Amino acid sequence: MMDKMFAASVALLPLIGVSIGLSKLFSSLFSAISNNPVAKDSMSTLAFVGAGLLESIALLSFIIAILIVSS
Amino acid sequence: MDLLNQFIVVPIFNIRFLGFDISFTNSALLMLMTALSSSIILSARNKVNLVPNFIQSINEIIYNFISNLTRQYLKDESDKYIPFFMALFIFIAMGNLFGLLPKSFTFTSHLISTFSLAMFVFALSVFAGFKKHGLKLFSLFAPRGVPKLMLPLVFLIEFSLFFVKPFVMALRLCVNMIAGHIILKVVLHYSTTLFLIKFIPIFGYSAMLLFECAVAIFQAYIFVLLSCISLKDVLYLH
Repeated sequence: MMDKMFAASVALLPLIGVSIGLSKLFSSLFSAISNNPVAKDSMSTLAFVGAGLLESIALLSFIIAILIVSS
Repeated sequence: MDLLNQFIVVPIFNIRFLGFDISFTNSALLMLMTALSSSIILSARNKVNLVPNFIQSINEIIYNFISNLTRQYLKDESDKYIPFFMALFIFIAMGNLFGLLPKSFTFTSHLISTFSLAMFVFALSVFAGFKKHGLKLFSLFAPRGVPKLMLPLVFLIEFSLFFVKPFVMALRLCVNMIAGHIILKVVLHYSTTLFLIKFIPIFGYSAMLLFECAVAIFQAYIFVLLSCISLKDVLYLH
């Protein structure tokens, strides 16, 4: 049981990368909006698409961790 | 607590044909419901009123949304592909939303159903590319202006990118649905195990359910967007 828990915690490591990516994405979005407030709509849709693409990586690692624990 | 219990395919009528098991399962039932409801939305275009009723206004909202998206990527050729992308969007969004009903089943949480949708888009893009460009389509894998030395490497990257795309699309939709349902079940599980403060997880569950409704539509949008991009790569060669 302990081994499985350890393996699942290792499988959740990609969350570090996803959090760094999300923070960089949104910080650059806010600075871009403050530089050019007119283009807010087009930029924010792009940013949310990017956030959705990034989130799926976190969810993939979550699924793998669940599968490791419940197998 | 059995988290993966909700994804089991259960047959409703047992049908065996030539030794194959083609039973009518709960997955097929939900697909049929989704197809019927999406045909109700799409059938609003048969009789167009000047003052739209409820279904027609929903239809117009989705049409504007999809046509803006396809015009952005497919430019002049977008008109041919709008009905296909609209049907795809409604089918996936409705399937995800029906899966959130209690006691129902999400067919998009199975890799095979999303993968078949993605393979259909892949086959469409290959067919459309051959129809427009003929054998010049293979220049997709070798862009112009690349040095001779780098060409094998670029060819490998482009080739694998072209074939990996449907897998990525299918995996993304499926994984999002599975993770969302597991998180919902984990949150709701606490409302049965905590004794005095059972009511608190219910609020969290309601908020998560609203979030999942948004994710259901958003994932359909992402799927349509990625299929638009894969079609654009084939129609407008670099």
